[in-house]
Parts: sequence; C-alpha cells; structure tokens
Amino acid sequence: MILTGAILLSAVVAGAGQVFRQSFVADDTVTDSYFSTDTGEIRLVGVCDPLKPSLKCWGLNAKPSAELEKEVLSEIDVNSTIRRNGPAVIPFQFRRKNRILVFKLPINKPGLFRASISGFYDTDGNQLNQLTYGYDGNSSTKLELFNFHAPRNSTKSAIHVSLSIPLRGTVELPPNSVTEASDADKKVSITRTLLLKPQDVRWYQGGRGWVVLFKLEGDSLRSRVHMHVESINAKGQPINEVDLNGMPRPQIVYKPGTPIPPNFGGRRFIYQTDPGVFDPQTGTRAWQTQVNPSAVHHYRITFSTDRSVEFQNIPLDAGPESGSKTS
Amino acid sequence: MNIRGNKFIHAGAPAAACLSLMGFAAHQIDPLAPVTVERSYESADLGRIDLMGACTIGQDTVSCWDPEGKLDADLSEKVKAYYIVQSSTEIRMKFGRKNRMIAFREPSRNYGGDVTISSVKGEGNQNMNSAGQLPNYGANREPVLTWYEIDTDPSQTQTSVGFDISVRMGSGLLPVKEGAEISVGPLKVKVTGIKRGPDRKQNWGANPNVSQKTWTITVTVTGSVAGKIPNMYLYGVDDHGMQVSRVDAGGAPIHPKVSGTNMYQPISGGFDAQVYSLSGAGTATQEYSSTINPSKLSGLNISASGSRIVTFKNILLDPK
Repeated sequence: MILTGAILLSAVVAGAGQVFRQSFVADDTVTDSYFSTDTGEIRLVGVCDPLKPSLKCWGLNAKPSAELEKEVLSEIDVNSTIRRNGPAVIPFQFRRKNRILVFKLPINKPGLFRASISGFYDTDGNQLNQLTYGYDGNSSTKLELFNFHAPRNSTKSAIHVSLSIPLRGTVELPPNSVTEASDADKKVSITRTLLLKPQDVRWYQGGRGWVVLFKLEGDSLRSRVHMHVESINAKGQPINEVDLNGMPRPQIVYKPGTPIPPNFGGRRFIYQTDPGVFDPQTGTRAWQTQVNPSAVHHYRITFSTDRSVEFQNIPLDAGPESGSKTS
Repeated sequence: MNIRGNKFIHAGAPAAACLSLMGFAAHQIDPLAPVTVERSYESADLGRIDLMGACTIGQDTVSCWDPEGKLDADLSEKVKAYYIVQSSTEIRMKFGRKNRMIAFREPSRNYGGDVTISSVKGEGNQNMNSAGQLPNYGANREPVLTWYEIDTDPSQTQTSVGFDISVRMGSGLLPVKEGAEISVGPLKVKVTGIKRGPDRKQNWGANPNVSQKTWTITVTVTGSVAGKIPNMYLYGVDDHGMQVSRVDAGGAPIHPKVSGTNMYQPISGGFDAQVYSLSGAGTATQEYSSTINPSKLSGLNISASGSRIVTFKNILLDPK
C-alpha cells in the first residue's frame, strides 16, 4: 500500500537529524585495555600535554614516558617524516586541561573483526576530535590521537568508546505492501510507504522520494537496534543509481581527463537516511529513500547494536602523586 | 604606495572637491592602489585600522605586546576576558610553529557600505581566521578590537598582514535594449548588442541534458579608474525589482510565491538564472551570457568594484 501524504513526516525528519551529543551507560569499564574477539584490543597507551614548551607524555601510571613522546611527535611534528600535510592543528580551550589521549587500535582488515568503533566521547557525550590517523603498514596496530579538554582542577577523567556490533541474520522484505519477514529471532514488517511531497524532498538534486516505515517485533531487539537497508533489484543486485523518478539507471563511469559521457549529467547516487535506532516504545523506524519502490524486488535489512566501553581513571597530569596503578 | 612611518591617511576622501557621486575622483587618485603601512591606516571611505599588537595564548595565560614590542596589560586583559566568557571557544594551535594572534582595531563589518573589509591575509596570501572580537557586535562603523590567528616558522621575528578592502564604485540598472546607457560610478556602460544563443546544456541538477535557452549581451564600457576598468558584476532584475534566481524553459523569470504571512516561499523547479562574463574583466567591450530572456527583464543590475590591499608590515611576533 503506497500512500501519498506526509502524515509522519515530522517524525521522519526528526529521525534523520544527526545526533551530536550522546549519552552513555557503560556496558564495560576498564582502565587501560579492552579486548573482545569482535574488536581486537583497544588500548589506551598514555596521555600528553601538547601545550608544554616541548611535548610531555606519560603512561597510565602517570610516569613520564620519553618513548611515548617520541611516538606521538612522529605523528604531529611538522618535521616528522610520517606527517606530510603540514603541522598538526591542535585545538585547545582556555583555562581547561588540554590533553592528547593516545590509543593503540587494531587495524581492522576485512573479515578480521565483526565490530567497528563508531566514536570516542567524553563523559558529557561530546565526540572527541581525532588529531591523526596513524598507520604503520608493517604493524597490526595503529596509533591514534584524540584531543581532550577537561576541567582545570580535575586530575583524572574518563571517556567512552562506542562500538557498533552487527547482529546475526539478514532479513529480505518485499516493498509493495504491508508485509513481514522473519528469521530465527527477528520479525520485521513494513507498515507504510509514503510518497514525499516535492517540497519535503531534502536532497539537493530533487526528484521523487519515499518514506518506508519499518516495524521490528521482539522486545529484546528493540533496545538500541540499528538498521541498515539496501534496495535490491530482481537480479539480486543492489540499486546504486536512479533517475529523477527513482527508477534504476546503469552506473556511468567517468574517467577524469576524458570527455564527459553524454548521459553522465543528472546521475544520482542513492540518498538514504542513516541507519537508525528503532523507537524502543513503538519498535518503529522511518527510512527515506530515492529508489522507487516499484523498482525494488526486496529490501535487504541488516542490524547492529552498540556497546559502550568506559576507560576510567585516566591520569591528566604526570607525576607519581597523581598516578594510578594499571594492569 | 609605500609609506614609512606610523600612520597613513588615504588621500582619496569623499570630502575632496572633485569627486564623483560615489566618492571617487578617477583622474585624481587610484582608490585601488595598494598601500603599505606599519601602524595605522585611515581613509574617509572606510575609516581607520590600527595595529594594536600581538598576543600569545597558553592554557592559562594571555600575553600581549604593543606594536613597539612593549607588554600591553590592557590588551592582554581584553583578550583573556573574551576567552573566559567564551569558555568553549577552541583556540587553534599548529604544533611546532610559532602561534600568535595579531590584534587590530578596525571598523565593524556589521554594516553595509561601498567600502568594506572583505578578508584579511597573512604571508603567502593565506586567509587569516578571525579568532575573536570585542565587542561581539559593533554597530555602524564603531571600531572593534579583532584578533586573527597566524602561525609562522619558530625562528621568524616579524610578519605582515594584508587587509583586502572591497571598494564598490557604483551601481545602476541597465535596461537590456540596444543603445541603452547608464553611468556606474566613473564608468558609462552601453548595450551594443543582444542576440540569441549559443544555447547550452545543463550537466547537473534537476534538469539534466536539457538545452537551456541563452542570450549573448554585448556592452561597451567607457571611463576608467586610474586608467583601468574595474570588475563589473551583473544580475537580472525582474519587474518586481527582485533579483531573478530561477527561469523557465523559455528564459522567463519564475517569481517567488508570497504566502499568507508575506514570507516568500523558496522557488523550486526551472533553471538557474545566470549572467556571467564571456570576455573577462577589464576590457572596453564585454560579452555576457544570460539564461534570462532579456525581453522579460526590467534590467541588469551592474555594480563595479575592486580591491584595495592595505598591508601592515614589520609586525613583531615577540615582545622586546
């Protein structure tokens, strides 16, 4: 059943908005290292003060670490052989304790880990600014630096690492009616499909758009379940480009330096809202798409959940008196 | 124009006798000539810019010095107060570089006018970001204290900062009919040709691969500013006196709809309304491509403007 209208548009638009602040309940608390077979080891190596005349770093026992200073300098110093994009810009706040948190993270090669890190956050839910994207081609780990501001009088702090963990099972759901599909532990249905009014189409290139309302049943799955949807054609392939009516069109490849192909103009990559969280009260989720439902054989739906790991007792100053014992 | 000494007063003042309506005497002075100063710049058309000093900002301290290199407690307190009040403001530091804030007292940009500061640039023509301003909102031309972030090699002791000042020399509405002529500041602009084509295809957007009707409008420009023809900017004006932003397939303006609350609704559909130069700036005969049908226009709004670069040199990066 395809309805024309915008009955639930306000909810749809609100659902499409980006969340800049997150609130967390820690699922795990650690001091220096978190390990699971889904993620590999996430290790907090130490802390640095970038505003000292020369960089000062210390380990989680608060002891100064020349070795860590050397490693971090190789990432941020303008004369570093690693750094090729000019000096690192380190934002700081006046009258705050400005620190760099140094993590060693596993390099996630395809198929190695199920889970991915979706962000690092302070205890107020502000996402930490990542300073560098270190990568050592010969290593299985990489050094990553995060900018961190803390109250001036604090000596220790905590941060949250948010993990995205895929849930097992894929659901395939035809688009054209109130319908449902189940796998071993999930029951998903489409309750409505709405054609967006032209003035409600938010993507730049115009054209038609639809909102699909999904419902997930199973109380244990409603909480913090994220959904990812792909539109699949009759040949079992994902639809990647559509015309202004939302109908699939072949992908046209443009090679730089060559004449622009005659039909290159007007191509549209699929716009869709971010994978979202099902409303824990209603179990529903609204999803925007540019793909005309009449061209979709089925939606392929995968799920993920999140997990929050809190790193506690991070020493914000060097010195034996402010150190904490870590394993 | 290089000036030694502490202060430069631009002679091109509107109060002078032989000025055009827009305040420029093309035969007397070039309002776009670059100027180099050390401490102050003043012109009747913009106002006054004073170099106040430079600052270094640490986690808990702000230290500023005046243009002579003498520590300036008043400037330090003002900048410090700003960051205490704006506590979540992030100050950008480039690691391994000499990071400084260069402070000026300058005319507020919160006003319209023909002469305005359009950007501030450091060495290498790099745009400098304004890091803070006091007061935050300067009314009319009240001067404001503004500081800009800069980073240099650690061994560098002095730097220079350039103000790019946009100088608008005039504007007017030119009817799009052959023979029509108007004055734009010191210039006279006359329509000498209108012809259809060449049409062009739109590659992107909501109407791909649809041919869009286009007209070529030729104008001749007489007059100059200090021997040069300044840049001209054109846009189409409809019979409501509004800038045309969208046109239909025939090049006719699509008028915005007025809602019950008198608010204009955004226009959707149609094509971009564009008027752009085919021949480049500064020539006596200029061709413009227009996707708006000239017969549907009230006229072309033409403004002429240019850049005056005022460079402050020998700015001390450390106190003495």
